[in-house]
This record gives sequence, structure tokens and C-alpha cells, in this order.
Amino acid sequence: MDTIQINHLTKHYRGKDTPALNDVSLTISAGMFGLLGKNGAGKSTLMRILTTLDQATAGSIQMCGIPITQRAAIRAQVGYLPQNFGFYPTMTVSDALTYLAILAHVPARDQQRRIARLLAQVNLTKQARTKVKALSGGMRQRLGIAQALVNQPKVLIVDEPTAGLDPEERIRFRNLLAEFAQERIVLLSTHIVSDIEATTNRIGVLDQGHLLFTGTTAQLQTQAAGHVFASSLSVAELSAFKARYEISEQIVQGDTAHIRFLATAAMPGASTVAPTLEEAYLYLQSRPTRQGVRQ
Amino acid sequence: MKLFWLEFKRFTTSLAFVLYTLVTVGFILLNVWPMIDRGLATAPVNPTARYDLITTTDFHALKTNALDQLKEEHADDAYVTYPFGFAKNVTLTAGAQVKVEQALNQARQADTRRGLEKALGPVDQLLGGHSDYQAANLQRFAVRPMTLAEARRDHTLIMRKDRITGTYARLFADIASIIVCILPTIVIIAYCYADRRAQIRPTMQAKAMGTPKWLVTRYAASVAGLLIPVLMTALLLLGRVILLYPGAALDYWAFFKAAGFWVLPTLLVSTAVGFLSDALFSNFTGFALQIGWWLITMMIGAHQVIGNYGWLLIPRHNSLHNVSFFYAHYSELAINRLGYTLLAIVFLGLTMVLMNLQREGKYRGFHLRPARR
Ligand SMILES: Nc1ncnc2c1ncn2[C@@H]1O[C@H](COP(=O)(O)OP(=O)(O)OP(=O)(O)O)[C@@H](O)[C@H]1O
Ligand SMILES: [Mg+2]
Repeated sequence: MDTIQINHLTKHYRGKDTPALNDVSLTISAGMFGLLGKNGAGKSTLMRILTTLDQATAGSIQMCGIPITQRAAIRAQVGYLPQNFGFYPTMTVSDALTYLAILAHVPARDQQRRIARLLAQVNLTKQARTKVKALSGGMRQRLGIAQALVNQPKVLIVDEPTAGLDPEERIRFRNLLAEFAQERIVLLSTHIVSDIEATTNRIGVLDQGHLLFTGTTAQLQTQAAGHVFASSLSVAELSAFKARYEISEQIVQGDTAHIRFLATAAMPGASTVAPTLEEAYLYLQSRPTRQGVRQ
Repeated sequence: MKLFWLEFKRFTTSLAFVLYTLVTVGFILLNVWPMIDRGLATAPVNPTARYDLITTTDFHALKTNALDQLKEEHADDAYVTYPFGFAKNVTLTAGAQVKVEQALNQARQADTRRGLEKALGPVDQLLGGHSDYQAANLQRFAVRPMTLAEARRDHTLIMRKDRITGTYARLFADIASIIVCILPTIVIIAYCYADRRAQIRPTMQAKAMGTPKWLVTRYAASVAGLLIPVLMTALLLLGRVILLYPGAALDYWAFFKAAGFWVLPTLLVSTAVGFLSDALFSNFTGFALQIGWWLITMMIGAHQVIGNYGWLLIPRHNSLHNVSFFYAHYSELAINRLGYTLLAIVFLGLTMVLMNLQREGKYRGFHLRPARR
């Protein structure tokens, strides 16, 4: 029963011609699920609908058996870390968590214990008396994840949580998420492929409101197999080449550029290589969509 | 309850609140403190003394007062008008002075309120409006000094019913209402705006707590905070009266009763307007509207400041006398206060509906945009 079922979900914002979500159908089961997409792909829109903060224009959602229209029941079992999470700068970390625990209907007698445990889990115990404004970006995101977990949700929804974190914090944060995904559904959105690579193999790719792909990372890479090549050429040729092909990697050594690029068919002088996840993602987005050929 | 204290703590430590407290305490004390002296305890005995003014319904008193004042202002060519409640000196040209004289002569013939209004209308126009001679403002002249008998009755009421503190408490309530009618709105809008600045709403909106409980808690915490300077000044003024009237039979609760019964309903409204404005506009628009409401109330209230309740959001009683007017119109005042308390509840209900819609993504705030040209 612990799945999120999204059926033909469409969202039109008023005053916009193209829908932010266009007939999205998706089933997400327990564990971590990565939602990949560029800026404006519709990730936050989907997450806002899943957290009852916005309404779909059409379509339906069942979350662990409960229809999304039953807002109170949904809110009780969802934890949400919004994009750009913030809190009152002058409140202390522990006051902030207490405040949100009360809003999340955590029984008074459990609050202290639960907050202490969460702070330990996200490694903020020492910062309990620190004001929110004094936290680093990584610490603030960890506070964000702690508050999202305060009601022990069955579903944890985190919207681009690693944006703006340094590599160390980013890795630490991903590990935290993976830990929490052991006992619940975790839906993670990002536009950074390495976030996905490090944490899950189950993904969905959104692009301009369309769900381009859903499946495992291996399946995505298989789709791109035979379309990624490696070659070397002189730096002088590089710009002409760039105009025709999408280059995924270029390393210049002296006059020579070692490149990897995407192409529909093999060509002389280039060797076929196994696509990385990033290249598979690029390949997916460069293909014609259902709407027609992309420029 | 924990939520209440967290809100209360956050509210009372905000900069806007600290400024509000300073201004409110300052405003009330500056206006009321100098009025407190030992004078109330002395019974009036002198039959020829000129006692304090009280309101009257006598047309002839009104007419005499109006014409006396106009005659004097005309003779000196020094008039005063009150645009938006602020005094402004006006002088007229020789031609206009002649017209005023004509109006004055005509007004002398008037034997009804209508007739007087008609005769004095042109004077108000010559003065550029907002003068005491404007039809609506003529009520300001409906006052006369108390007779000795009235002054004695007034004194008896002060000593027996008001028990001295009650008299000062009315003045306190009059002054305090003026300030709590306007400042809380901006304090609340700033308080709500902090949510937006800290990008906190989605986090809170996704939590389980229902909007009514959250909003009512926040409202209660804000009102409790906003009452602090009112209660603080009430305490200071009470202390002052106790020192000045040793041994007198005082009503120790009078200031607090006035704060709860008279000042609080106004504060409930201005606070609710703050929350409603935030929900409706998501910006500071509501403060401009509240300033408008306040100005209008002040202007209507200024028609008669020593005893004027009606449906004013700020009931006026800027006097240490006119006590029998207060007791005679007590139920009018009580209905007024009850009405505004209900209005505050209605505003809060509306806010709740809007916040719920926002929480479900159905309403994103009504933004005033400049009209397209
Ligand atoms: N409140 C809104 N009103 C109108 N249009 C909106 C609103 N919110 C989002 N959109 C539009 O919907 C589309 C999808 O936006 P969304 O925020 O869901 O994308 P995203 O994938 O989260 O992007 P990002 O990576 O930048 O966060 C965009 O075209 C955006 O402009
Ligand atoms: Mg987004």
C-alpha cells in the first residue's frame, strides 16, 4: 500500500500558455526516488501538489491509499522540505523545531525526546541553542530535513535540497537522505545528476511539464547506448563541431581537444563509449519530445 | 499553549513591537499625565466661577457659541481650520471679510439648526473647508459651562461612581484608543511580513495544524503583546492618582476596566485589519487603508471630543467632566464596543478563509497594480 500513484496529472497556472505539468502518470514505491529536471521543468509544482499546497487542474493522486483531496490526512503523513527553506532568523534551532513540531501535531510529551533525537541524527545537537541566522547553508538544510521528519512521515518530499551546498555538505546530506529512505518513501528533486547517482537508481525525468522517462538509471543509460562517442580534434575545429553536436566533456591539452559528445549515429574517427548517467540524461532531453522536434 | 508563548516571545522581541511600545507609552503619558492633579477632590462652591464645559442639546447655546467665535475670528481676521485634524491658520482678503460679515448678519437671524448651517456654509467655503462652521462640525459648539448645581452633581459622580480613577480612566481610554487604532495594524503587517521574508510559509502550510487554531493563537499572542504598553501606562497612571489622592476611596481597577472595555475593542479591530491585510494583499496596502479609516474616524470624532460615542471606532471623551453624559450614554458605548469586537471577529474569520485558500493554492494575494494607460 505504501506507494504514491499519480494519474494523468495536469497543472495549468493562470496566465500561462503551456502547462507546468502535462499528463504526468507515475508510481513511486518505498525507498528513494529521484526526480530530475531542468529549471522550470515542473518539479516544484509536482511537489507542491503532493504536499497539498497547490491544486492540480486535472488528474488524481493516491498517497499510501489516501486521495490527495483529503488534505488533513495527507498532511499528517507527509514531511516537506521546500525549495529555499528558511526560518525566523532570530529563533534558536530548538525553538524552531519545537514550533514546527507543534504545528505538526507532535504530542507535547514526545516533543523534547523526538527533537533531541532528530538533532542528533542530523548532527545539530551542538547547535540547538544557535540562532537560525547563524547556521551555515548546510546546517540550515539539515535543520530543514529534521523539521520535515518531525511528524515521522511515511512520505518525505525534498525539493532541490542540495542546491548551494559545498561538495562535503552535499555528500553528507545525500547520505542522510539515503538513511531516512530505508523506512519510507523519499521523493528527491534535483537538477544535479550526481545527486541521483549517489543515492538511488529509480528516477523520473521531467521536462517542460512532460514526464520524459521513468525507470532505473541503468535503463536510462541503456537507451543512450550507441549514441555517445569519444574523439580528439584540434582546438581550431572545436567551435564548428560544437555547432553540430552536443559535447558532454572536453579536455584541452595543448592544441588537441579530447571530447565526448552525443550523436544519433556512429561516425568515422570517433569511438563509441558507454554513456555516463549525465550523458544519458542529456541524450534523453535532446531527443524529439511528444510535442514535436525540439530546436 | 506552548505555541502561544513561542509566538508571544517572537512578537514582543520584534523591532516593530519595541517601537510601538515606546511610541504608545510616550503618547499616552504625554497626553494624560499632565492632566492628573489634585483638583478633582475639591467640591465646587463658587456660584460665579466658570466651570468646565459639558455637551448640551440647546440650540441657542450652540448658536451663541458659534457666532461669538466667528465674530472674534472675523474681527482679528485670524481663522482656524482643521484639515485632517491638524490646526491651520487662515486669513482672508478684504472682499472675503465683507462676505463673512454678511454671513454673520444672516446667521444672527437663524432660528433653526438648518438655518444656521445654511448661513454659515459660505463662511466654511471661504475658509477652504474643514472649519468649525462646516455643517457637520457645528456640533462642536453644542457645549456650555456647567452651572454650579451641575458642577456639584458632576463632582458627586466623580467621587461616588467614578471614584476619581474612573474619571482619569476615561481620558486615558480616549487617548489610548487614538493610538491603538492605528499602530497595531503596521506592527502586525510587519510581523506577518517576516514570514515571507524568511520564506517560511510553505513549511508551515504543509503541517497538520488547522488554520483556525494557528491563526487564533497568533492573534491572541499579538493582542496580548499589544496590550502591554496600554496596561503599563494604566499602572503608572494609577500609581500617580494613588499618590495624589491619599486616603480617597479609589477604584483601583478603573484603568484596567477602561483598557479592557474601551481600548481593547479598538485594538482588536486594528490588529485584525493587520492580519486581514496580510492575507489579502501580501504587502503593506492594508496600512494605508487603516490610516484612511483612522483619519475619517478622527475627523468625525472631532465634531465633538468631550463626549461622542455613536459608532466611532475611537469613542471620544476628552474631558475630566461631562460625567453625566458618560453615564447617560453608557449603553450606547457598550453597544459600540461590542459591535467592534464582533467586527474584529468577522475580520479574523475572513482572514482564516483567505489563509485556507492560500494554503491550498487557490488564492495568491490580491495585488494592486497601477492602472494601464
Ligand atoms: N505560481 C506560479 N504561477 C505561474 N506560473 C508558475 C508558478 N509557479 C511555477 N510556475 C511556472 O511553472 C513552470 C514549472 O515551474 P516549477 O517551479 O515547478 O519548476 P522547477 O522544476 O521546480 O524549476 P526549478 O529547478 O527552477 O526549481 C515554470 O514555467 C514556472 O514559470
Ligand atoms: Mg523548483
